[in-house]
Amino acid sequence: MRNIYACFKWVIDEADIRIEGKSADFTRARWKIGDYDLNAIEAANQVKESLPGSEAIGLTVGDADAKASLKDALSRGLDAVWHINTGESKIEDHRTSSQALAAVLKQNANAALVICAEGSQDLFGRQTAPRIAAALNWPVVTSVAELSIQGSVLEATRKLEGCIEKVNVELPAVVSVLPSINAPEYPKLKAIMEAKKKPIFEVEISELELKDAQGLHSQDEGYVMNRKNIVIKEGSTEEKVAQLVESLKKDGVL
Amino acid sequence: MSKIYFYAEDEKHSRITTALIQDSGNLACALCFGKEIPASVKNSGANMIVWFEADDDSPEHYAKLLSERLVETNATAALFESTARGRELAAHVAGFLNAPMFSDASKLEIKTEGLSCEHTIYGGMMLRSSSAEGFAIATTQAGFYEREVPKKEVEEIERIKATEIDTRVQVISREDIVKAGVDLAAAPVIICAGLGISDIEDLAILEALAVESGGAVACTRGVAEDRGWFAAELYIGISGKILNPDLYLGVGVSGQIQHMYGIRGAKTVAAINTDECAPIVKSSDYALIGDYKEVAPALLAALKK
Repeated sequence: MRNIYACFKWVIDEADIRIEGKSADFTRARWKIGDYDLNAIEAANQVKESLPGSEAIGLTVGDADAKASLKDALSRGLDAVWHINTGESKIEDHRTSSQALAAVLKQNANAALVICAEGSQDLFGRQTAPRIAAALNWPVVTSVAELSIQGSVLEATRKLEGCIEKVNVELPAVVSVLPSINAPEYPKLKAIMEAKKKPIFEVEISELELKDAQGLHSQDEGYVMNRKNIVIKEGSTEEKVAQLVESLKKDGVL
Repeated sequence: MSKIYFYAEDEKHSRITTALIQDSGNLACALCFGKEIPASVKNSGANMIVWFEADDDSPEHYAKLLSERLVETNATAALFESTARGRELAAHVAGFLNAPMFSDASKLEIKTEGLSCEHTIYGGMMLRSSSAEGFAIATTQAGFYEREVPKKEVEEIERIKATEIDTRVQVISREDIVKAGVDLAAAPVIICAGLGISDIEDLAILEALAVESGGAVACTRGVAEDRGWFAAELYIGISGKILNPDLYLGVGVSGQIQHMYGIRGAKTVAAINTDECAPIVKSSDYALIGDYKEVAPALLAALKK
């Protein structure tokens, strides 16, 4: 029971979403492992280093397209990766994704620690770590800025609104880490080549016995930022500044 | 009329949440955990306080107990202020109850059939309208509802001697974060330093602009985390500070969506940028195209007039 799991998600790069009016065009969008999840993966690598005999294992829930994320995850230092395949459906309900992650962790029965990002880059619901913990009845700690394992105890430093809190946590446990916890580097060519030889495990989500998640409805639209969009570019610096100051005073904000 | 529980740390947030619940015709039950009832809960104007009393003052450690309470009393919803502790407690309870949860909800409505709300996704590019049938949980950020109830001491207190607290997480120490300068949330004007600021010395002119306009200087995530010019508490964005100033002035800020998310509530957004094609131009009320090295001193001079 000494392995470190890092959860990650294959997400759309939101910078590629084109919003026109209220509709969104995803066709040109690239997909990637969420930026925040790269911190979770790196944190798992680092904890593993301090724990001889342990492995760092990736864990993701995603549709068939998310397979494209697995080699990438492995090239970032993980020893193996699990893909919970949702086939053609994209799971957007935290209830289902967290239960699925928890189900695989329970089956594998070898986790000392599960590391998530605070939130996924697409939905940023910040729910997954506590939900996994609830499903497994393990302790959870969120907003983690530093962590290490000492024997059978996790020592974590949390960064909260008004204070820095140091906690000791019984293992196995679930944590969510802040983006500031580390600075992941791009994988090197050698790591990319090695990733090809590492094991990938796949399980169909239908094979996991999950509780029903119903009664949730949602609809998306492009966010329209209602701003005046006045561009001040004509004239000398002083003239432009005068125009800006006058406008701000007129708006009553200066 | 049914019981809707809420957890909030800030007194104003407590009174806003009470207003939302009471306006929907329900009973507002304020939650607190630990040795005593904080003043923010005492004065929340709620219909009642439910106090889980024990030595442990970390609300997160009461998730299981709270879940049981919500089931026993047929609660129709539970709302949590979106603080680190509030979010963890909310999602942990949602996990125990396998309940839907809306994170950082705005336009929250409590209807007979359940909660409905809006929340942003894809780093703020899109808006998702969601509704749930039956029990649901939501977290809320400052400014999520337009009304607050006046300060009023709550009379009815239900005191629960909490015994089965989660002891697997032990708090070893707590150290207050020394506030790095002024309180950004209270500043009416925010002057924001972006990666377009090429020299650290130039921050002085931003500080001067802040002093002159009665505001404060903040920064983007890159300026805090990559350059280390500011403490991490001073960066604005989806993973940092969310602010609602009267005026936001971005200096050398490109306007990445994750950053702009943090100042969506600003009354006026202005920018100084050399690049007319920078994303911030499209997200601003006023975008002054020019080099900040010339514009900022001129602006300071104009403000001093």
